[in-house]
Amino acid sequence: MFFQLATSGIATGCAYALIALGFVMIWNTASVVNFAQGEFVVIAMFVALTCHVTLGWPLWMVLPLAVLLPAIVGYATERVVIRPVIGAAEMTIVTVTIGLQIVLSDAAKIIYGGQPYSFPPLIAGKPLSLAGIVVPRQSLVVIASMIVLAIGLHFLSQKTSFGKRLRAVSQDRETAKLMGIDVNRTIAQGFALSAAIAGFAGVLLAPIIYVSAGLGLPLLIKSFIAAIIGGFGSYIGALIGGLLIGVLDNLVGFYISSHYREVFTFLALILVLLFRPQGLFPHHR
Amino acid sequence: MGRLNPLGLAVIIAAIVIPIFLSEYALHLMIMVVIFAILTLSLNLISGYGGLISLGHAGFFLIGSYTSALLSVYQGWPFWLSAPMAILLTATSGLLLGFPALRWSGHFLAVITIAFGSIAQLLSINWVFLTNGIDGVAPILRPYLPGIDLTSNLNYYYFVLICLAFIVYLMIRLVASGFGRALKAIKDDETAAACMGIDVRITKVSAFVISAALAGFAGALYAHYIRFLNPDSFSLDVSIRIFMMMIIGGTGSIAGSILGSFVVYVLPEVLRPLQDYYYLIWGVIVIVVMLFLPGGLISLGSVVRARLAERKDRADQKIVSTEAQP
Repeated sequence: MFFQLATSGIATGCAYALIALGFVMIWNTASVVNFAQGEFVVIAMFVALTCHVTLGWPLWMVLPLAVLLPAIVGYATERVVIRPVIGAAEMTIVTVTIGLQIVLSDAAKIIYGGQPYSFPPLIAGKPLSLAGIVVPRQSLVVIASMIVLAIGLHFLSQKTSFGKRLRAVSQDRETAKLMGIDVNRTIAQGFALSAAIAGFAGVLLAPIIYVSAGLGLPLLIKSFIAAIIGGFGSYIGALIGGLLIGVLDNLVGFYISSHYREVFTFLALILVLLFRPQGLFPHHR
Repeated sequence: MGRLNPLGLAVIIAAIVIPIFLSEYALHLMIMVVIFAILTLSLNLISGYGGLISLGHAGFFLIGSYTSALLSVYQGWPFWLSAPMAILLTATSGLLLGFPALRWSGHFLAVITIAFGSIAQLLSINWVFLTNGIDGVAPILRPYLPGIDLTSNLNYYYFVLICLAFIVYLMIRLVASGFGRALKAIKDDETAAACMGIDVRITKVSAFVISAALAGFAGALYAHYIRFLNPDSFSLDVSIRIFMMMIIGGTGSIAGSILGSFVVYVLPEVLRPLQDYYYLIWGVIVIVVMLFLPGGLISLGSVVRARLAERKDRADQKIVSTEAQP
């Protein structure tokens, strides 16, 4: 039973991991803690819901759209509301992103109402049985997608010029500017990329949890905690932190009580901060 | 904050006179504004003066409310005993949260305080034996004051207003004291403050304790006003709302905190005819204020004055330059 629960926890954890990854990316490039990150996930979920469930489009058409739209929204928000406050007091930036969160989540609520929607599994078929553990195909798809995406992102950041610009800006904005990098443009693109990752996570998550307009903030907090547990600023830390939160969530839900899920997530955060404040995989700047 | 300007005096007179003519619903809003003003002032102490972000103030508010309510409903304690007990217990929880604040600041502290507020709310939902869970606690009696009937909302309004006045006075004294200046010095530069002989640890933890105690007091005032408590009233949204009140009004300003509470509490009610759109428009307003008035609404006067002076300056220069030409 333990492994069964852990496996299904990993599937949710993958989605948390990706959201945390995008969240950390914005922090690294722009020094902005983006409270609206969860809303990018919600946008993707509703795009997928409308196109796939309501209009009946196939998934291969829906997925690019569900990734592209949050990316556009991410790019636009950076240009319009984030850029003027970059470098301002941390409280000002936090307030702006909270304002953004309110606007985006309420827009979703106006369009789709407050009720939850169910989303069909990404892949049909009977669950597979691996060494006595029953694994739904859905979970395998999610895990495989996350691995592919993580490798792709690693390649992007190490080999392409965009990735190198992104890393240069996150290491030292001033020096990056001196090297002829358009810092503002890079930050905006970083926003778009992280929103796109969040969008991808949204599509993966949609069949696992019910889609609703109020999901953004809880998802953000989960991924925020995942990022801190992993070591804030570290990409690998964000991924592993997300997986841990997903597994912990499931185990607590079964062995203790589903009412105490969040409590244990927060306790994990507090324990990590007390005994290993740099996180499990410390980030070196 | 030394002397009272005419505008401040006008606001005080309005706060005393106008409620007499208000409807029952508007009076309810005013009482809530005053209670939230106390909460915002308490947050302002740690965030505005101390520079520590807290998104868990609803947690203190909850502990204060529930302590006073449970003692009065199940133990029969009068308000005058249960409220101090609420203050004591929230101050203790402030002590607990003050220690993490020594080590972390910025967004780390933000998420720690979110965790604190959320744990408090989740426990109040799940510890049914203590809090009666989502069914809530009722009926909580209004405080008893000989000769004055506090079950009348108008009288209760004046009661909370006097409490607010007392806390404002306390704040003014606190900010001007050595403690207040030490707190501001730490916000500006922690190392420099420590070099000047300020005990950073004690100052930060005391700020948290005082802030929590005030929020607990606001909680007691709320519980005995609303007379029915339910965990719903203490969600993360409430913490964010208190944070917004401080920021929108003007961080680090007493008048700003009160103005912020008024605007943030009353504006959604004014926008209510817009129905579904009001929260969205509220979010836009928050962003616009931050982009154009990062010092909050309270800085509006000085910003406008600075702009006018600048324009006048430029106009003067133009006159000088045209006169200089023969």
